[in-house]
Amino acid sequence: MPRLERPTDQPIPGGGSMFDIVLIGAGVVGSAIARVLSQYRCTVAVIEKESDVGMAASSRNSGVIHAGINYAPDSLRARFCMQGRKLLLTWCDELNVPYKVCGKLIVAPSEEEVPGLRRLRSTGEANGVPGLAIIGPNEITELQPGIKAVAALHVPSSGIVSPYAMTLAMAEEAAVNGVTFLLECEATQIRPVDGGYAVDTDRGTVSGRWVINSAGIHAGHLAQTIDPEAPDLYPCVGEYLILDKQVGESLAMSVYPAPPVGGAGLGVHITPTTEGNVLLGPSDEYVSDPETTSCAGKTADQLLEEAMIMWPALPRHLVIGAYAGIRAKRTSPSVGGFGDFLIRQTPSADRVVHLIGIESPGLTAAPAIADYVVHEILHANEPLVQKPLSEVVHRPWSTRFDDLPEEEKERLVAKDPNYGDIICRCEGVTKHELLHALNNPLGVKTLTGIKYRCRATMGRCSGGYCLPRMVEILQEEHGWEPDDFVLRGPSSPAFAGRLIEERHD
Amino acid sequence: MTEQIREFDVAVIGGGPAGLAAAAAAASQGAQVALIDRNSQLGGILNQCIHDGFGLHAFGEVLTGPEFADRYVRRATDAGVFLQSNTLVTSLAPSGEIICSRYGQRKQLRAKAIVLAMGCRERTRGMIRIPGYRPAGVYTAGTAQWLTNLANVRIGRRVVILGSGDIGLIMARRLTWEGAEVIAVIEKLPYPSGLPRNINQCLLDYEIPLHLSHSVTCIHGKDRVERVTVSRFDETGTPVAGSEFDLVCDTLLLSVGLIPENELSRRAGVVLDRTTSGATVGASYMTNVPGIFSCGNVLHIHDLADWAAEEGERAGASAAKYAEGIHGDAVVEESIPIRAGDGIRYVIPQRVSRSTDQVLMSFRVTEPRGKTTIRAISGKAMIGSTQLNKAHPATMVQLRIQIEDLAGPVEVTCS
Repeated sequence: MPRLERPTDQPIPGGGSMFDIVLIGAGVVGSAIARVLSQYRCTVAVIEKESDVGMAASSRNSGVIHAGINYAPDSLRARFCMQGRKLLLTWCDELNVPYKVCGKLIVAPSEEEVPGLRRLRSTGEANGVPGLAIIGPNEITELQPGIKAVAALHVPSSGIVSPYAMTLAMAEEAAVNGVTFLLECEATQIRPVDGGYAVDTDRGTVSGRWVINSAGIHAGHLAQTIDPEAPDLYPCVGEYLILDKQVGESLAMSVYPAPPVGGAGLGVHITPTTEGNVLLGPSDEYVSDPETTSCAGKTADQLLEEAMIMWPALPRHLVIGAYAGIRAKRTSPSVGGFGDFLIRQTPSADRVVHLIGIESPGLTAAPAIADYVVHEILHANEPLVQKPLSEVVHRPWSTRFDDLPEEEKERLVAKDPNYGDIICRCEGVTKHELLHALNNPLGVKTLTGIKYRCRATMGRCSGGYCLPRMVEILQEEHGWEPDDFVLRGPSSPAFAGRLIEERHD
Repeated sequence: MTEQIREFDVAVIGGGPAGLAAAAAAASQGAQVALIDRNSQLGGILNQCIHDGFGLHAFGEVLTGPEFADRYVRRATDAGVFLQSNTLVTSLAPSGEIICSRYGQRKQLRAKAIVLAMGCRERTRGMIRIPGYRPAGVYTAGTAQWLTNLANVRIGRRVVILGSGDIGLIMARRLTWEGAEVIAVIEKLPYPSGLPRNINQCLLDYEIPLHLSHSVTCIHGKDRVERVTVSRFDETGTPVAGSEFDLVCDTLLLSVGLIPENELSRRAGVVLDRTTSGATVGASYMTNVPGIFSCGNVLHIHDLADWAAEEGERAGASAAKYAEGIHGDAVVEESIPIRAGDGIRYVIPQRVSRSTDQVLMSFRVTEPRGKTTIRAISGKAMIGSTQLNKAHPATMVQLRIQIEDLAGPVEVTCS
């Protein structure tokens, strides 16, 4: 029998109790709102259908900090991208989340694409993006060797961030500051009740005076349960390939193509990650299933081909993995292109706020969206009382042991011998970091949750080395049973029980 | 690092068959030898290989993996090797300085010669880019072997195995014994990649179907594997439309190849061969970095632990000589290249020094063949040859040649 506590063991706080705010969806936007709210005196519940926060689009994207060159100047996307970028960098510093302002090149393989670069530059300048310059092949090579292009738009204020670390760090800090996270709990309907609104879930009803719907791809149809005029969303899958860290050694910045006209995405780009890998992608394909995360073999070949137009010597044999994420698009396949973010208070129920169509640049914009929702909607309506600073717990993300200088490593090993025990060779993860990941304030114990928190199983061997070590440590030292090992949640068991039951004769 | 840096003549990284044999060979020549291994138990992957079939070549006996390992652990111990288990080498400098990490301790040591014997890792699903979902229940065969044999965990009940590498074949039999249903072994090539004896003893004896020229083209199931789509592949490696069929299963094992684990070597400046993914070496197994030697699966993938151990012995002996100041290999620039010619995938070593009097070449053919003549040619002169009744890519071939007045690069061919 499984012995670990599961999120569903936590009862739904029912019995007429009402939260001040119920947030639906713990992606990067929901987690950002939770973090801002956790600094105020109010009761907050976050409802999340997955076993962990940030499991959908928030961890399945490019991890790029956008500078603001792609969005019409009057749009919410432009506004929240520009404000969000500044806030994001501050939040990353506060939360110790890895990021790097490495810049970006948008390249024109031929003269035909050069006018497109000029259009981006003028949009960017209208949005106030600093330092934009169209450069020639020599300057391109200086910034990023190996790129084949006649010209490029250099965007120095663009950058990269670890999207899952960002989401987890925000949510975990919110949790230690009193926000209630209800995981494995799926919202199905929002309806008015006395004094507020009820959110019906597969595990019971959670009520709040305010409801904020940040349910990502599901935000549209969930909104329609109380707000029939709310728009539909169209799932559009984006597939990525992950390349070995060896490739990251020769990529200094993101390299994008000039954006395809009318395309659902920004085109297949090559981007470094904060951990040193390289991502290729995304594709864009409208799908019917909003939960699909399947990758197609043909798409992988296409991603490589398109990336190799820009970087001909790309070492394609160093692909180590793939993933797919869903964009929550407001534009249907027949329309294409991008719609704007929609932040909508239900006309008949203005304390039910829907965040709809938060696709790219949602990661960059998340802190600004959170700031807007909390201060300009909630606080403007009924003033929130800030907690004294002494009451707000600061919970920074841990710097990876592998990234520390040797002297610091020795100091930590002397402090906790588990820092000397390296359980994951590809990513240099120590046993201390594994145990710290398991001891997270959200109570997440999935293998994917461990992966995103300490990077064990995330490297080039996909867990071939560290999974056995984790199984050994957790079975022998922490009493885990085979059934306690699940990949993403209770429906994805890693194992099928014990091979041989222990005998007690 | 408060403690003094320990100095050795030879440091061996990795305690599998090659590393243990190398350490024992170096120590028996009088060298001060340290062997560093990351596992608690020396022997490397042999410890999870509880089946027999080891030692036929090295000892003329049939041993299990742990028994085979034990022979070499005893040799190393008897020869006075300083054995350091539970310790992971985190960096290696070309000068022979090593930083390693273990519970409660980071330490540094230095050696005049280094033997790389880190073995290999398995190719993963991500590397071969199998389309579909990424559910629980997809394991590489070696990881599954560890979980089954050493962690008492049942990995699944209905298993499809992709790839006919030896570990996959061994696991087909092992999981059958444990009550799992092994539905099929799928191999993309028109011939098996594992040893013929394993095809017989692990598949045919248990009536497990082997689908040659087939591969898995989709994994279904968002949470746990539910089924896989299998397609037939033509001679050009393209899936044949309409040939797809689904197999219902809860587990997919991958036995799709091994990759020498050379991250440490690469960062120390060791040049790797694109075909083997291992170092390029001379006849004494020295890499391009003077004093750094390579052997076993980190050099090239072996089909038998016996061969890996033998190679380790030769590399260990060379390393001990190097530490004494006797250099068997000239620098790369002054060596004569050895090349894989027609029908040969690769040859180890990749070069030979003019001062060497003989060289043992290890190589593989590119595809299965019947009666085969292997020839080593330099210029127009044939400098060695051997006849084989049959040759198979899964089986390593060796040929020893005398080196006298080479006219130019050596090429190994088969016909």
